[in-house]
Amino acid sequence: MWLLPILIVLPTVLLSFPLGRYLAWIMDGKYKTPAAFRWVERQLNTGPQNWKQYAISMLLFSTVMFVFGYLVLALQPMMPLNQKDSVFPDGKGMLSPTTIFNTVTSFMTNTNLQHYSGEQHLSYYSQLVFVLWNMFTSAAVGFCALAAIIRGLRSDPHMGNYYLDMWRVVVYAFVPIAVLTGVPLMASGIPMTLEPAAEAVTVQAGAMGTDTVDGKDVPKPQVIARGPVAAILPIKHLGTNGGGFFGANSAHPFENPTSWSNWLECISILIFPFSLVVMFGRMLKQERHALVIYGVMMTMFVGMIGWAVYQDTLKPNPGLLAHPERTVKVPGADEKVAAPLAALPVDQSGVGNLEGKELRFGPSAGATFSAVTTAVTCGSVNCMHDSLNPLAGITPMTGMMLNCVFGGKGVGMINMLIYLVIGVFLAGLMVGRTPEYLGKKVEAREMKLAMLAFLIHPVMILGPTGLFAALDWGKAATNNPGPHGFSEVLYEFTSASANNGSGFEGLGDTFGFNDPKKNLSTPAPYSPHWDIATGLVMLISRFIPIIAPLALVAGLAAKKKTPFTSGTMRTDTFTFGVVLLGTVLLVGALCFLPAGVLGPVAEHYGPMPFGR
Amino acid sequence: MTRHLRGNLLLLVLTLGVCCLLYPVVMYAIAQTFFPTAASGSLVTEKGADGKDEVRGSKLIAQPFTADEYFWSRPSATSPANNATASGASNWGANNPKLRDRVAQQIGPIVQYKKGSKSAGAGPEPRTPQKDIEAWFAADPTRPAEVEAAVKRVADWAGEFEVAAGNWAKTDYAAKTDTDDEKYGLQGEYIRQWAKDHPEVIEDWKKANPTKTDEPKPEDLGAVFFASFAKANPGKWPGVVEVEQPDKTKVKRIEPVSSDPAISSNLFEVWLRDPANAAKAADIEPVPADMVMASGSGLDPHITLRNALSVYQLDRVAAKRTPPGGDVEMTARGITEIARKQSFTPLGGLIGEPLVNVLELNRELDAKFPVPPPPKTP
Repeated sequence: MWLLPILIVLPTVLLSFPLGRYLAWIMDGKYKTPAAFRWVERQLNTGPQNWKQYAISMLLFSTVMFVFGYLVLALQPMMPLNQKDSVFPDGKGMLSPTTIFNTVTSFMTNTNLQHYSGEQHLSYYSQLVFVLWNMFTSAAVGFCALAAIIRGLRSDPHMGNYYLDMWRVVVYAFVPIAVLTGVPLMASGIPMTLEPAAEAVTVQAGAMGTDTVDGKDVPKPQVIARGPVAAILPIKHLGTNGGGFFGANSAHPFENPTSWSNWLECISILIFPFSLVVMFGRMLKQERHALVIYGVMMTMFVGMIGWAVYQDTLKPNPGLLAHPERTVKVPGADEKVAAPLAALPVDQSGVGNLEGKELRFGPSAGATFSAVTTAVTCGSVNCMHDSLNPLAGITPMTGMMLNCVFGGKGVGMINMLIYLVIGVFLAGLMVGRTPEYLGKKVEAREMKLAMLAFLIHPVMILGPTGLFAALDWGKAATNNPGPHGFSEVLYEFTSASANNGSGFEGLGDTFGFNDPKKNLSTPAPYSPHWDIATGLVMLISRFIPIIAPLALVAGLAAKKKTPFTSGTMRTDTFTFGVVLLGTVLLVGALCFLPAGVLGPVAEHYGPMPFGR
Repeated sequence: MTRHLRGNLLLLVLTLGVCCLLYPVVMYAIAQTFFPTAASGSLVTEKGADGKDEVRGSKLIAQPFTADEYFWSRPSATSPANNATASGASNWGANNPKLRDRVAQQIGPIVQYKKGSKSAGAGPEPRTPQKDIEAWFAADPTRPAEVEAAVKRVADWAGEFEVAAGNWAKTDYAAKTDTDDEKYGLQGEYIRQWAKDHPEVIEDWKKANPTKTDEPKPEDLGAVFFASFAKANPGKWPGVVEVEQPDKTKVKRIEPVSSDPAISSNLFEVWLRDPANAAKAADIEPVPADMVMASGSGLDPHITLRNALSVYQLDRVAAKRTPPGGDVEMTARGITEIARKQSFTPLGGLIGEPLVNVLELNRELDAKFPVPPPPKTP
């Protein structure tokens, strides 16, 4: 049970130190540019930028990403590499406009919330040009923002150059490491082909059903969708993107064929977020301080994994167990007696809750993956989070709600910085001194910006969740009754706001092709509402928490450094780590506990099964 | 401004070139050179009837097996099962009654008593839970108390398990298409006819649903239909039977029957919770979890070795693959050996328990233990 998480976390920690140093070396421009790239880098470097110029460059490039992405997807039926098979004889058509809006914002904000199903709705061209390109570039955006913020914190005269930073991250970090992880993934069995779906004659004749041709029953083949999966997979995890080539994401055998590929995918999700903390310390020359942050994040991360594995792998699915008789009293309705239930004769020993899980990864792999993917806002899944045991569902939600347990590429560290500022402010108030961070006074302007960056997240989660849960928009979309249905709505907005992209996927939010006749399943009734609402949440929760901290550190950089005295609060001690951990947990709990109690906790205690 | 424009355009073109052209081409070349089988989806081929290679499936993708002579894959929530162009899961939480019902309905018709247990009995033909369920379900028409209990039992079941009753009504249902109107199967039509013959059915439904104005569909009437049917046929189930007509053609129609797999499937849960059956329920051999819990992708190609070698799989397969007069035990031993040889444990044996690939196992069985031809009927 516990061996797999250890085998994942330990090597990643060891790898993160050399990689973090390498990244710091790259971002500080200490490398010697290869001759071939010298001209390119000269052209890209538009000169030193202050925080406003840096933020504007980032917004401009995001606009380019939006326009380009929208064009690629909208023109999908006219583009090459539109594979045709017996299920889609005309190739893939155009998605509905709101779905395109949602998908484009989702990929450009590094969220990869998918209101479509990869193998049904996207052509190979869209996968290779839209998905793949966004996975490289959107992952680099947060990375660059962190680099700029570090330069501000160490009071550099300028924040670097956005375009040059992007190029460095993509070309010197992502591409080579993607090739390196891609090769073992392909060896484990991930397809890399441009051929359309394969058609197999089933071993048991007619097992997929039969077609009637000329009055005779002809057995249907099994149509096996495939494609250039191996190109997408490495960067999907390295960039903490998480958008699956297939609908089932990393639970699909072609995205994750063996326990080894699963292990490697977990490591590649974690490696950059771990390394970025090391890079932070290295670039800032505050390695002890970074180590304290690393420790705080690791403590929360271990807690998340432990909770998920304990609740989901070591406990059976409670839906199949015996339940005593229960009288349900709801104000305004008749009292109802739920009959006592006997346990169904199912042997769940040693495997835990298997619904929505794959066997080949090993028993605790689903629970571990759910913690890994939500701690660092990846959003790829190897088991269906919707079917996790009720209390185990708290782990992925917590990861996304705190959003700083290592967190997304760069942005996780930036979120932690906000908690740091709040932490020193609280600690400063408690001892009655002006709070300081890295020798700079934290004053009203800093706190306002920090609160802006911090509060966007809970507001963007709880506001829309309340709205949708109260209206048919949410009620008609849920796939499960009672509190679990509420959890589905809550999870969707949490995932959108955290730029995570995983989901309690039972939620009906898929419209599909604009021409509904082409869809395999009927469009969900309120899918346009979901497309637009989550799209807006992703945009707001992406850019404000990046730009506000940029402004914050620019303000800090302009301040005079106060001398280090015996009265200075040190940020590189164990005590400070405890303060930081307490701040994150208390502030996080204050925001989200009520919603969590209405969802997973109520489900755990509620009648089970619900609604009989 | 022009500087920003240049930076943006250059970054767009350069990253497109590196990430969407150079990188995938390198990956494609590596895959096609070093891992050609994996690159095209780990397909399993064999020589077809016309001498050409024929694709029989993918090693990584589960195929549906429903026949008794094959090991069954895990349940799949895709439609149809193991649909490799629309992967997905049930996404049902633990508190969803549908999950519990699906499992109960699946295991009802297949559960067995533990070998040698009191409920199984000592005879050469062990007693099955299905027989016990049907005996419990039946009613002796000469005993009014028993009849009354049987009627109430079905009415209670249909009231509580409305979805199951509705599903029964929608068996073989075909939705409206461009050319055809919606069409109900035998069951749906039977309910329609029943409602015509028994007007109180519609009245009961209207009483229970005062807010609904449009005419009830067969699936809406499921619960009231079963209650009314049980009153007319206590202890019977509306089963599908094939009857020979005078002109020797066979037609299927619905008749009250006292033995039908649907009884054990639908009423298993109610039987299980009846305190009178507690001793029998305790004697049931537990079903391996991976036999009833659906996978995440709907395409999980493996089952646990524990599942394959359980009485729920091995016994059935071995019985079907033993020639007439042959030794079932011997076949079972042979199959066990193959399964064990094919099994592997994840991460090189470090985590979890042994698994087998269902497609590969079944293909090897077809080669080594072919299904004997059915005895010729005179």
